Amino acid sequence: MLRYLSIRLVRSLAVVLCLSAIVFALAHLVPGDPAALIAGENSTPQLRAQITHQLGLDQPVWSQYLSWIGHAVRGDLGSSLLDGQSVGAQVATRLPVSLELAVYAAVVAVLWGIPAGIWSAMHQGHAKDRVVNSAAFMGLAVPPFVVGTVMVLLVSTLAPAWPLFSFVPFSQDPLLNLQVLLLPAIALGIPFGATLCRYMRAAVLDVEGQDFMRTAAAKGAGRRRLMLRHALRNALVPVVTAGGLQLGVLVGGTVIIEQVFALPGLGSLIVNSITQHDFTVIQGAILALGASYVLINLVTDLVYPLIDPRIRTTGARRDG
Amino acid sequence: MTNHTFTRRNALALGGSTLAGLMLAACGGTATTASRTSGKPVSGGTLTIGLDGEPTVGFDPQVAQAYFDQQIVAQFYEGLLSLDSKGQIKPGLAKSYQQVDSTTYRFTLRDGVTFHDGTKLTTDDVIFSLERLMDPAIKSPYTQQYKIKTVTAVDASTVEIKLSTPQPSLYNFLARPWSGAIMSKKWTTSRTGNELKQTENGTGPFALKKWSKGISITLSGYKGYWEKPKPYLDTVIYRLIPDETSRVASLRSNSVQLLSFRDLRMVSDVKTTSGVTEANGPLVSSVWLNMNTLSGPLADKRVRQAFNLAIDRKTLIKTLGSGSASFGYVIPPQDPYGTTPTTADPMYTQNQAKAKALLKAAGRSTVSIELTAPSDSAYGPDISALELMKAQLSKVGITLNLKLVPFASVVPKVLGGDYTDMIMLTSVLNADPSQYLDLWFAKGSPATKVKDQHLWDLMAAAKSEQDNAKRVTLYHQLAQYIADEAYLLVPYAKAVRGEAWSDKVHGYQPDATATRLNLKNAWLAP
Repeated sequence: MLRYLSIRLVRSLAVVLCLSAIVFALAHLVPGDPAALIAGENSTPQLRAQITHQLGLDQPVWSQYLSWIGHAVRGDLGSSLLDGQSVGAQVATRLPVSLELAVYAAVVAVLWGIPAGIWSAMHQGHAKDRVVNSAAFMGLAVPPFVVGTVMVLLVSTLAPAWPLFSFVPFSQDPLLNLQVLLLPAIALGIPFGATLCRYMRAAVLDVEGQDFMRTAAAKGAGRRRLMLRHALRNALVPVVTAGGLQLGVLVGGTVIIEQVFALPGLGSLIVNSITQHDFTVIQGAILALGASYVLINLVTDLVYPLIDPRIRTTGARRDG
Repeated sequence: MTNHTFTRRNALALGGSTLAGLMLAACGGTATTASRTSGKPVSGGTLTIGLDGEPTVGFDPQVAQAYFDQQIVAQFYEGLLSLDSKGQIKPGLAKSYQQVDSTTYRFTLRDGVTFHDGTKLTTDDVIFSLERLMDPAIKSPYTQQYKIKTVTAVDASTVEIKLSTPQPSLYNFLARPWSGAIMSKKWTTSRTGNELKQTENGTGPFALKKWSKGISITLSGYKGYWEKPKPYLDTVIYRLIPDETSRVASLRSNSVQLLSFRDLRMVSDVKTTSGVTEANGPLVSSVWLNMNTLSGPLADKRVRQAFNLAIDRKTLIKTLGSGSASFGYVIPPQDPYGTTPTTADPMYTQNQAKAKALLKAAGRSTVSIELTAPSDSAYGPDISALELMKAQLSKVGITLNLKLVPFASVVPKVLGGDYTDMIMLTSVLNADPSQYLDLWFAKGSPATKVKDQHLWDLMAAAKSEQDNAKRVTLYHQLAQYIADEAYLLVPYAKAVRGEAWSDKVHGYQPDATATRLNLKNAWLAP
């Protein structure tokens, strides 16, 4: 178990390091000159040169990278090129919003996706199965921002009292916070749940045909007991894999939903900093995003041994 | 509300649809829909505004360059002079002012002005602020716009500004609440550059209460403001809602009561909302298509004019929507120094036969021209118009190749003159008309793509003219000259943004600069 854990950790760190280099290169490949944006259209070339120098943007890219990563490993992500605010502090206030939204969406997804998948598998081939299947396909086909925009338009006319754009942090007013995040969580939870539903259905059907299920049934286990005790646990491994990957995607994939619902998450920070060519903020925010993705996958990996004791004892890879 | 004010909307309806095109050009979408000012203003209340973007560089007024910075800074700070809702110069922190000679000006400060921290405004603060503006160390983009040499106190309430060279535009610049802002000497010198970006201490009608990044900016009405009983509002909350559809929806649900929007095609959507007043902003955005006359096909004046005559401007304007566009020159129609081309101007009337003849005279039957333009979503309506223009041009044998790049890289290309044939940019209202021309035609600048001593002489003469009426005439002539030479084409001029507000908001009028929401006179119905 310890070996399993340490291998996963080392791999994750390597991924984050590679990611940091890619992010840095990408941020500097984006065309445009921050100095021209700061100084404005009517500025003199001298002023722009001076600003470029002051920002350190006249140094070679590799030397800028080394200096940045050197500070980053010590927890200092630098400060914004534009307003001088600490990047670390900005990320620290934005990341929890995106994470909360992702988790909230996952809860919504699990609440409808898992039961729907099981139910659909239990009625394989029947009309009920087909209804659930078409619903899941619809959920996958309609992008969250469309659902989000439609919800905004409907709610603003039908229920103007609903707190649409009144975000408050969870720590300040938990109830209002959950209320404000409900609609975006549903918008994101629909396609996420649809994915879970599809995986769950396939996995349950897969397990149902296995020998141990027949044995259990022969031993006289009822349908409910068969499903919950024997099928579900075995079916869960692929679903957790898919769910973990999706959750990771969600943390970064909330960008458009954040714009539509005006939420102060990491996504809107990244969008803003890209349009403003604020390199340090882009780098810090994407690194945080990547790191949380890696972390979620790490946690997912650590969940497997809990679900499947075979992984616990052998340290076998889930895919090997 | 029982009185029915005569709105632009009614005017258009009366004008009838066939005349609409002409009407638009004629009334130029002045659009300041008469605000409901009936009734006695009431103090108090909270106004929530839908904000499209947060400040980028922050609240240091003399460094604030971006629109998102200026619109907030303008609530905190004030200059010695100010602009009224028509863009005319009015007294500001100076109650009176006079020009002594061509390079000397005197300003007498208003009594009873205090900064938000309660300290009294003195001549020391004025001297400090203007010297700070001229100090290269603060790296202000505005420094080069001012020709201030010295600022001295004549007596306890009068300052004298001496210029290094005559600058007829000085009053216009001092009326800008950002670069012309008067800051407290004691307060400013005791803070770091980064602190100045996060806090403020102005003399304006509103003070910063709290900035929750990514969520909202809260202002409180300054109780010690010199123009009593203004401001009427207790609290102003700018709530960040970047998505335009969401922002307009929030007005509908009354979670905000005032907002601005960029996509003027939304006007029709807003109009159908009951309880909402809408207005296009002033037409201060000329769409500039600058031509490289130094090399390539556009070096030939006949090709440039053929390009110009091939365009059907009236159709372009029609596609941009109700009242939000008109004919324009390099200086936008609603700049105090700008004017609107007449429909009789042959350079603004489509003439494909003449365009073909000009091309033929230039020895070409077909021409291929590359146009670099911004690709950002905010330019969506303009890109549609460019596509339409492309179809019009193809009829005379001109192939227009659109090269769309992010706006952030258009600006350096303009400044460095780094494009093949043409480049597109849109104007915002500048403090002085010389700025529009210097951006494109300043002698010796890498951005300049013309070589015309006559143009440069005209520019120099207009820039240094002391008599304002003559100056206006000179700039009108310059704009016409540039249109006739087809150095820079203006397919149309448009409003930068539209504004909409709830009927509960009274006394509000869109600002002539299209830069800020001027809230000083606004009040809420109880």
